Amino acid sequence: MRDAVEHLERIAAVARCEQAPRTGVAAAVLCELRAQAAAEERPMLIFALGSVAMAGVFAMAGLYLFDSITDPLALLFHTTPVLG
Amino acid sequence: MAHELTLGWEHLAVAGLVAREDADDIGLSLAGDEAAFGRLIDRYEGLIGQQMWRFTRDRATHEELVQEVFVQAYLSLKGFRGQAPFEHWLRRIATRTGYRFWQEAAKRRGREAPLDALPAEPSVDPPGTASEAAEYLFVLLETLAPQDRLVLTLHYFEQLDTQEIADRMGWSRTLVKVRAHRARAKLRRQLEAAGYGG
Repeated sequence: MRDAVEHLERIAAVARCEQAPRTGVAAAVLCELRAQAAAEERPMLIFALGSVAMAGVFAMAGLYLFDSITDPLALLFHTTPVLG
Repeated sequence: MAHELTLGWEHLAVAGLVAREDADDIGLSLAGDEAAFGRLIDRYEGLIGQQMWRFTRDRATHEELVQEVFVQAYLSLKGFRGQAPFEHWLRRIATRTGYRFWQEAAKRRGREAPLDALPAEPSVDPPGTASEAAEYLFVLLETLAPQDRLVLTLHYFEQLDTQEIADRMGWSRTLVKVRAHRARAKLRRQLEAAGYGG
């Protein structure tokens, strides 16, 4: 009785001649890579916009404080009640 | 800029390890040239398609696997050191992609697929069609655990020896031998129980 696994070697020799179906993946690959690249850029864009917004808030707060500190009468005009 | 980057890969072509056209297109791809990577795909798609057909007999899945191989290749391209031909590096990625596919399928299905019924044994003397033989072998190997299945698939379909399989997967040669032995023993039992090969 011939060995079953040796028999497989003979079948494999025939099987190796099979031609695989043709594929055409170039366009899909490049499209997927572009989509991945765009997805990676989105968080960075959100972070950049957030940073600009925060910078604007701090700039306005800083200007207000600067005005208060450099003008000694600013607080007087802001807090002195009207007499009379 | 692209020309300078291409020149940076020339040493690979000069050493004879990497074909000149591959070295040029790799350099250009890394510089962001889509057409260059497209050329690499066109050059190797047939080869990789042939290899991935051993991992599935479904055409849609086959196309997805080939696509996945080239996406992974692009994402790993910076790591290509040119210590072997580009084809070898690509085949390694392809094998690991296919193996991962089997592992995920095995997790969903359970470790090994039961052998419900063998397809008709193909004729070898005279030989039947290559597709019949490939289908038969594929169904038989599908009953094995992914790691055992991979070892015999690479042996039967790509005629790799144990050292080549070990190099392809980063396994030890001893491990490959053990898996091959275990897989063949299981196949032998199944075939003899079914009355085949006699």
